[in-house]
Amino acid sequence: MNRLAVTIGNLELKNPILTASGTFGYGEEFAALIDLNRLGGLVTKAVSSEPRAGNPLPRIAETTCGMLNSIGLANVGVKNFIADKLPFLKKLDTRVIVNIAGKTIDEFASVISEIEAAGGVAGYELNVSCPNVKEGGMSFGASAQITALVTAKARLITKACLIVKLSPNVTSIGEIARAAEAAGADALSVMNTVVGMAVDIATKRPKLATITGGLSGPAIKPIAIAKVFEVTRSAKIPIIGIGGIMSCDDVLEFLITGATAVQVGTANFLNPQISEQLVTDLENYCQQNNIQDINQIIGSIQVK
Amino acid sequence: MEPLLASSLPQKDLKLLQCKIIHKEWFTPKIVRLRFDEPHIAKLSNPGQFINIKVTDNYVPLLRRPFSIHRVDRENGWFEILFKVIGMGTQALAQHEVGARLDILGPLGNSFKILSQNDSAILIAGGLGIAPLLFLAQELVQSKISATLFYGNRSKDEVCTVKDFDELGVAHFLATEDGSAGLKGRVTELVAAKKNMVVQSNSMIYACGPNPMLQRIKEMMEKMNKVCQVSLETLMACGFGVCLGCVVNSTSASNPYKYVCKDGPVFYTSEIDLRE
Ligand SMILES: Cc1cc2nc3c(=O)[nH]c(=O)nc-3n(C[C@H](O)[C@H](O)[C@H](O)COP(=O)(O)OP(=O)(O)OC[C@H]3O[C@@H](n4cnc5c(N)ncnc54)[C@H](O)[C@@H]3O)c2cc1C
Ligand SMILES: Cc1cc2nc3c(=O)[nH]c(=O)nc-3n(C[C@H](O)[C@H](O)[C@H](O)COP(=O)(O)O)c2cc1C
Repeated sequence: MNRLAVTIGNLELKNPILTASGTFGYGEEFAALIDLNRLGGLVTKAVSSEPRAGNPLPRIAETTCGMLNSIGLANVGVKNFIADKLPFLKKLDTRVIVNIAGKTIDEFASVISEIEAAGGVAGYELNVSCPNVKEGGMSFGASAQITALVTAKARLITKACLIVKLSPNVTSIGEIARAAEAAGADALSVMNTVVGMAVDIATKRPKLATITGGLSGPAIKPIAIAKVFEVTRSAKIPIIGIGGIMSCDDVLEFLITGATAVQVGTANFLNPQISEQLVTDLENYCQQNNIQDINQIIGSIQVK
Repeated sequence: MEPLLASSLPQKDLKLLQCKIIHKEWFTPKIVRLRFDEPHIAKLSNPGQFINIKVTDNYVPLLRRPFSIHRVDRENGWFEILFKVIGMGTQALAQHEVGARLDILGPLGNSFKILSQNDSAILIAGGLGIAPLLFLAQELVQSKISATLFYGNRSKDEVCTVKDFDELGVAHFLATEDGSAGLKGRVTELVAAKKNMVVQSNSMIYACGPNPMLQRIKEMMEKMNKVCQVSLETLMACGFGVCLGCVVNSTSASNPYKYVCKDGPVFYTSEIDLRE
């Protein structure tokens, strides 16, 4: 029996380790460095209906134990994704989840429809929470109502696992989680990056061209743990924990707090072999601690 | 339309390596050269390529730091980097001593193109821009292409590695801003002063240095009708085409950005726009 297996909606994962969107390309970039088939799954860079060039430079800045980015969802567009990236992904023996970005509700729907027609993916992660692209002043993920509309529309199009990725940059993440759940989401990814900013003291200019950006890396882990905890109190569907995961201890912390699986993001930049390493480390942890089923750990947090 | 993110193919020789420092040489209190025992990179890398180093084993600094491959000994299986201490990461890197093993990702990026129609080459370096040009000079000499170096620095004591160029048979001309060695002024002024050499020969121009210098070189070479390749530096997170952070403005209308780590770090000046 595989003691690391977990289930997210209708998706069985061989282990709870996935890679986070935007930090793992389309998988093939890592093929020379790790065995992709050992991962529970991978989430692609965002895919939108047209190719996007992304934001002006500079797009990244390093901060203490973290990094700011304002990539702006630069991506190849759904047609190139299907033609150039999907054939490689289809050959993998791991769950492929496509991160979907749209400027409108219809764009989310049409990108999913096109990929459905091509087939071969296990699920979709709706990126309603990117802090770096704002459309007409409306930031999708900040509104429970719009999150529900995007989710419901996607639900009509696909039976594949539908995951909604939530933003921490909102008044109540619990409310948005409930809206996504009610609209038919199978799972929730918690969380996207935290809005942040850094200023160059010599030039007195913001370090990013977009002024603010998304903070990721170990600096945000406590925020992510708190958001996962909050969402466990608001929604019943599985949670995928994301934010600052660097080690097996971090993975365990998310699982104990209530995440069924996790995604590893920024850590892939420091150590491109970390995702596979975490699978090994988690296996060893379970063996050493005589844990027969990882699900015993999930949500095992003790709160008085 | 040309695809926006074209060349994201995995680099076939890319490896994550633990490389041992076997030699360390200080040129100034801030400029240091490290030699690593690593046949994989020594044998398979090409001039212009770089490596991405995890300079500490904790999260400060968090990200890797990229450095050009400065020189290789393919036979004995070592390579070198040459760098200047400018911040936290280079400071930490400079503290490692002979015998230490560092976590290195490489070789990364594309390389300088050496074309058979050029019988000579002009190398233009500003400051630490000298780093990738020694490896390039090694390969040019191998390919029987004669090379000349124009090398600018703030002052005489920052001038380093010219002895290694001498040994390869590469002639050099210096410029320093304070006039302590060679022409007083910037390297672009040196190039202007030696314009006849540049224009007359059937040479490829290769340059590396700060962006304002490279933009100036680009404009000068366009006026002289010379083809020029430059090696660029930007902030970078992953180094292998995943984070999409290391952008530079391109000159193509349909494709506004190039990625330094995978489309570069070497570009023809016609491809990029380095104006602020
Ligand atoms: C492909 C490539 C090859 C490189 N090769 C070499 C090399 O051979 N030798 C060498 O000395 N350096 C090289 N660099 C630059 C080197 O990576 C940086 O100097 C280093 O990352 C700085 O790290 P730090 O932590 O010391 O400085 P930080 O603390 O990160 O920065 C200190 C200051 O320098 C600025 N800065 C940092 N990096 C750069 C940069 N790349 N361009 C302009 N300003 C910068 C920062 O904004 C800040 O103001 C290369 C960079 C790239 C992308
Ligand atoms: C460079 C970069 C690009 C990202 N691109 C996307 C994206 O396209 N879609 C998305 O949903 N999240 C994106 N993210 C967010 C990550 O998937 C993840 O939610 C976040 O980085 C927090 O996890 P971490 O701290 O482990 O990196 C990106 C993050 C980074 C650092």
